[in-house]
Amino acid sequence: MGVLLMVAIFLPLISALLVAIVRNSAFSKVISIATSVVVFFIAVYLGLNFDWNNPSFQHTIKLPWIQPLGISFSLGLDGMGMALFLLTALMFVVAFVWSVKVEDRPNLYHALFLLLETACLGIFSALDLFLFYLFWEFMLIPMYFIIGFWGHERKVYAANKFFVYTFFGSIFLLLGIASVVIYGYIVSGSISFDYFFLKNIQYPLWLQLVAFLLFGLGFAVKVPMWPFHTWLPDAHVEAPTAGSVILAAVLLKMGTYGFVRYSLPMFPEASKYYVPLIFFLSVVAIIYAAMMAIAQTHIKRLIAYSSISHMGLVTLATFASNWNALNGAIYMMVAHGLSSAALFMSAGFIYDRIHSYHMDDLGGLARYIPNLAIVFMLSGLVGIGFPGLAGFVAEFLILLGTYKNYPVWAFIAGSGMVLGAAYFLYMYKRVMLEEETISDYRREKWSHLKDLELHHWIAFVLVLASSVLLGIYPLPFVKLMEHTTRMVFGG
Amino acid sequence: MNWNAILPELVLSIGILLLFFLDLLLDKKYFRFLNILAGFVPIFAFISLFFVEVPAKTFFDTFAVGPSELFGKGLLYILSSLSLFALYDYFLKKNSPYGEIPYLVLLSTLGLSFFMSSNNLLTLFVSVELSSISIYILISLLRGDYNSKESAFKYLLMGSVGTALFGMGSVFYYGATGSFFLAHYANQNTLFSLFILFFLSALALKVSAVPFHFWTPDAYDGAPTPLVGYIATAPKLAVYMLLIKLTLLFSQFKLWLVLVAVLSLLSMFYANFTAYAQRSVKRLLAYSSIAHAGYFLLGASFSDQILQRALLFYLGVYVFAVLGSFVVLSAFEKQEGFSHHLLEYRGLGRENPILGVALSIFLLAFIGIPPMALFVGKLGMFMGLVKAELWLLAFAFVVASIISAGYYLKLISVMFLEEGEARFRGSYLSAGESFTLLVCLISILLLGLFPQLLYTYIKL
Repeated sequence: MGVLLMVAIFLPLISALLVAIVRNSAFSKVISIATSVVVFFIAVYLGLNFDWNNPSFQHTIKLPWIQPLGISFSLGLDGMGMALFLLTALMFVVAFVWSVKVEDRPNLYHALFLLLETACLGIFSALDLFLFYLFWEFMLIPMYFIIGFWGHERKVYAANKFFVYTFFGSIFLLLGIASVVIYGYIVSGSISFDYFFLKNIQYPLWLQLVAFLLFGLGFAVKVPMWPFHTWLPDAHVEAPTAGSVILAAVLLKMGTYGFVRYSLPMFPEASKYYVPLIFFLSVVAIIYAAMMAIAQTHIKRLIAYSSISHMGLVTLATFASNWNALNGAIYMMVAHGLSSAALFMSAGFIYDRIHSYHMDDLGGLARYIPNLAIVFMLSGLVGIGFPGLAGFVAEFLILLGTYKNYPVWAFIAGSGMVLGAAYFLYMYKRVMLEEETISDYRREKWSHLKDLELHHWIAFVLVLASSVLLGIYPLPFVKLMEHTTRMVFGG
Repeated sequence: MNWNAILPELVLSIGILLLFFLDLLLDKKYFRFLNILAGFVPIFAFISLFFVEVPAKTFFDTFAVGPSELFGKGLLYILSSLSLFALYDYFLKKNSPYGEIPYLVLLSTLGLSFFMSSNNLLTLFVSVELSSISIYILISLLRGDYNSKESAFKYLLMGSVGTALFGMGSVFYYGATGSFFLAHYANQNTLFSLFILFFLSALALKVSAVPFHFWTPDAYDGAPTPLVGYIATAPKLAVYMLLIKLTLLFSQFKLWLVLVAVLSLLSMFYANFTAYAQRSVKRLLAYSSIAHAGYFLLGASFSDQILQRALLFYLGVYVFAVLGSFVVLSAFEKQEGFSHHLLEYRGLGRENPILGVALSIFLLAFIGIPPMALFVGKLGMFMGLVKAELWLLAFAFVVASIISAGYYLKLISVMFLEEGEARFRGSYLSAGESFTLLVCLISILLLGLFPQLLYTYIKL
């Protein structure tokens, strides 16, 4: 199984090389979709063969790599890794399907996305800190150029900001990795970057406190937690639609994934020590970002702020030291990945048709593109936690768990969700329903608007069907989450 | 007399003499041939390294070879050879095919090779001067180019100051220890502190650490670009080897740590901020190398196996990135009227994807992005600094790296992302340049994924 995992990770890399060599746009598109579909099927196969009663990492593979430094090529998945691996594989299928009409430098575009897919899949399955960091940082290069090449007006600014912010976090992460590895070396006399080796070391409190901050900075920028969030709205506004989809659905999860995978098990005492700080930052993110979202007139910026708000909920629940809350946090990562992707696709579709993201230029679109109005509504409902959809299960678990340990914080977080409903419905009203504001000229122009095409439908159905599945039949997924939760809390 | 110990130096010397006579006999049109021939001399010297028996001493024990010297020399010869392959086309285009260039480069390599093996301040002095004087001449060898002469003169002036500091330091060392041999010394006294002060200043000048960096941007800016690739790597490599040797001997002195830390902090922060103000890409890279001098000095702050090995690895891959980036720059400069202003780089990456991508890979490597090998060096430095419990220096390194990311990215985004018509269309690469560039690219990428290929040869 481990070999299959490795194949899934490196298949996109090989396809990227093929795309770069062949340089034919039709070939690029076909092979990208084919690759991502194959990777998705492998992911599903791995998911079906995942034994959630077996409390250890599965589908593992470990090859010798850099022996003098104790680095091995080690891959494996736990429940959370499996869930995010599936999400990533799905999202790249969606992104490639969405991009079949790309005309601007299509070969480079697909090659970069394929590289990005390798990096993202690698991050969620690496079990060696060196390998993890390699994927973590390598991800920057394709994303930088995706924003920089295919972005909108301020793309260079946004790309540079994205790069520098993320690099800011990850270089601290590198120092953090160095410090735990060196501590392991001092304790045991050998250098090793192995995740299990480093996880089982008892770090002294001072080192935990320092290393938690170093790791945490790296993760916090990616989440993004307030006050490191300012790159996100810019990056989303400028990124092309498929880039936004991947950014929101996959890249944002890396930070919270890192918290659960590394910070919680490796620095348990520090994780308790910093609870007030994390909670404060999370609640500020939930409330502040939701309020910022209400104030936006740019729909992509609004969705970006809503992402920050939702991710605040995830970080809050991650550190609530409660079984249900952690389950909910991981569930929320997946649910938010689906909802934000669908929302960004809706926004991207509107831009493709009307060439504006501004609410002032939009209004009453439900009359002209009714199909989009339906999927847009559904996507929003996933996000605001409508019962029967993925977001509801996540929010329910989070509130249930957090309330038990920290009722006040849970109450504040819950009020953030109300704001979530407010800004989404407000946006929906302005974009889809309100007809008074639009001019006759626009009415005339919009009467010929083309509604969702086949590739749009495929992308939306993939995402929304998954959301419904996660909403009405959460049991297997909660079991997946519990697999990780059990490893974190023991028992 | 142990001739085996100086085998590679002998090979170099024979090559230099041969080229000297060939230059006298042959016409200007054989310039390319002379260069390529010269490029093979260090390769033979490199091969001869495998026949040197280590450890060995000769010249009344002033000349010593051990595994770490072999490593440094191997790297030096590779650099020298690659630089020689890369430079002929540029000088032909600039109408300055001076036959002296190849053997001057080799002469400087010879000096540095002796420098790496010297464990006596007198031989160190002589060999560093052999190398420096060759380089002063080399910088000025651009026909009808005022800047080249000016920068050679500046380098000569500043280099003389360095020589003076070097001499002063040696004198104090002799005063303190009664010998010119570098050896362990435990007494802390004024004379010895003065030695550390002066000697470190001299070395700081050679590696262009702040506040002894002033020659660097000017010299880089005016010098023939492919030669900058050489002077920015080879002499520095040799000086860092000496610094590591000194660190192992003297870093127990508090003064050593303080001075090295101050030099490195000043270099990192001053250079990384000043780089943002540069409009010339050559000057930008000059400031980048000053900042890197700061990073490398961190590796000489404390005697620790992990730290020094990390420094050597970092250095060993960094030189390829520098050499490669200057090869790209010199390829660009072969176009008429190209002056390395940032605006002239607009769209160059799109016009000339191979050179643009290559330069971007080097720039990303400088930032420390995997899979480029410099990131492994950075990681190793972090590990060493943490192990030595120099947390503050480690944090400073982190912060400086973050600051530096912006100006490298600026160049990348100018080359690829910014809209607007490109003024220059880029130029073709000569065979030698392509070879050098390819070697640099491959070593950077390969050593990033498989650092053990270089790491296992690093011995202290």
